[in-house]
Amino acid sequence: MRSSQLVISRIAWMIPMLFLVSVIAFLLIEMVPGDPARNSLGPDASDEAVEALREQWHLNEPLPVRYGIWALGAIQGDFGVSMSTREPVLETIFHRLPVTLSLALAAMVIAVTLGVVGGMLAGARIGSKVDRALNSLAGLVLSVPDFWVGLLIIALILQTKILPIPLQGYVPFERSPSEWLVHLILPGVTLALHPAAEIFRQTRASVSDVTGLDFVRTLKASGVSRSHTLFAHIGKNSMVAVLAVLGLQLGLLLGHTAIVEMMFGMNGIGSLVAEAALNADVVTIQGCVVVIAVFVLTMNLVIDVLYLYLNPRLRAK
Amino acid sequence: MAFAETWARAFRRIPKREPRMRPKTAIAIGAIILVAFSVTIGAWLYPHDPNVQVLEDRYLGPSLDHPFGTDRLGRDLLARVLAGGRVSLLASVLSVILALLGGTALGLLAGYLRGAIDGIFSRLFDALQVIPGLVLLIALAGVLGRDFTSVILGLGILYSIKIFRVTRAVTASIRTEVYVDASVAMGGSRAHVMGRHILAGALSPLLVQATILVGWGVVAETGLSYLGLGVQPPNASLGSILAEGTVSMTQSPWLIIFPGLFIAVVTLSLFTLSDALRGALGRPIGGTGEA
Repeated sequence: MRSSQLVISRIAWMIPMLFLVSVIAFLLIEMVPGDPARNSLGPDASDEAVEALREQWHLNEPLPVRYGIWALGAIQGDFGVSMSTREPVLETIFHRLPVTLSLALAAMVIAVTLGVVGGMLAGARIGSKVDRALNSLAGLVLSVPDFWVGLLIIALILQTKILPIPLQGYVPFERSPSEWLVHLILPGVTLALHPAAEIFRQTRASVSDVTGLDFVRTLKASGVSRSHTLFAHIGKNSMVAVLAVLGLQLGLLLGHTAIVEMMFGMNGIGSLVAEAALNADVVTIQGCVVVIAVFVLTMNLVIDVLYLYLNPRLRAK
Repeated sequence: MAFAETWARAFRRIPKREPRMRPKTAIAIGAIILVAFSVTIGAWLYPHDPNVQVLEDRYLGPSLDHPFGTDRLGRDLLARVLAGGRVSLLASVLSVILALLGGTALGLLAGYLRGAIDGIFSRLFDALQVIPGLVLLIALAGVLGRDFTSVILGLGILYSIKIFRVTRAVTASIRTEVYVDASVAMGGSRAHVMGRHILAGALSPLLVQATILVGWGVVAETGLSYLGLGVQPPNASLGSILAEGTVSMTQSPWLIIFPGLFIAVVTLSLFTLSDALRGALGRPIGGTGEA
């Protein structure tokens, strides 16, 4: 299969996935106990008013028709209005999207940096003190909630005042790139903990695998320096595996933005979905679920394409 | 002299048939038993009530009377951690049981019968997995209401996907075994083959997976209740204890340290146990199942 065909088949795979995600998101509102119109108007509203709203919201139509109406709207960018703020859901989401994207980007950069550097150090010398220390650390990190570690870091910084970095809030990149960056450090580190540990494990394993291959011995025999071999040759070979882990960790990372954004007072999609859940604002929840799913699918596609690019063996098949 | 030496050497050479349990595993099992005992009988024996407020005893540090200290309302933190831990563990264990019932049945059917039923459930679960686990949990809590049952249902659905995947993969590999063919040839019904032969083969990997999931369930429940989407106050939950403790964590760091340590002990023990099970029972199919 040629690589273009592979990419096309991946895009084709996204369509049924997107359809099913939209069905799941649509069904969320159907799962709310009671009559949505009655819930919205309150117990004191007259039956006529409730009936009028039912008609307006197409609640008297059969389920597939209701899905059709909702999906047609969603495709045109109309996810309805928030049940608590009365603002169009998609507008709120787009307004908050840059926060979550920045946070996710920061977390991924931190996770890949820590994971790959640590994994190379450990994987190049399996069984050494450095390797054992880093490996235990990764195991420990994976066993505790990331937001708890985040809380401990905040407490430590508040207590000792060793690091003069902001603990709360978000500054848009357009306003001040440097402020944007420093505000992302702590939430980024918190969110990066688990993915970093997973990337570390994967890099360590693949580096130690690659280290045993013939071409590494040849490089060594040709007098190529150890660090050059490690970073230029072994590292490149391990990137393929790191990419696969990153793809798997993406959903986890995006899910945890909900907690991390709430913790650090950032108004992104994660905190939006958590606030919507607290307010039982199902329309906003639906919009967030669809947008997050679209993002995950798109990122998975990007990772698949990168995978093809980095792994010539896949292209040859 | 020679005789004793021969015996000593022979004795040393006898291979131990049962490999001894690694100390790590023994500690993990001990910790799990201790935690299970503490949150049930221990909490009942413990003199302090998790919800009783003693306002003159606010923000007390750890002491003999209050081993974990007290919170902003003078409630004993150890009693609250035990009560919250019980809620977390119960939610987690119940949701894993739910997932085992649903996920195993669907996984068996999909892996053994294949065809349309496999296609439908595999696609559906693929799509569910596109939505990040925690987002799905939050969405369900928002839709179904913020309480214990929503958490169990949400986690149950989420973990059914993992159990389904493991069962389906194991089933697909076992169904081609000769003994399965033999059972079919001898007139074994589909239900008999699935129940007697395939389920039996899937038990070990399911046990390993379930142990990991209980650990992740505790973490996920903590996350949800930290956001205010789990068990509601004044009832204690590990997440709400952490959220309340955040307000005063510089003056009273124990309010966030102890609940987190409790979770760490639970998850670390469960993961160590699952590693040991994996080693003892053979490698399972599929990875860890974090939410």
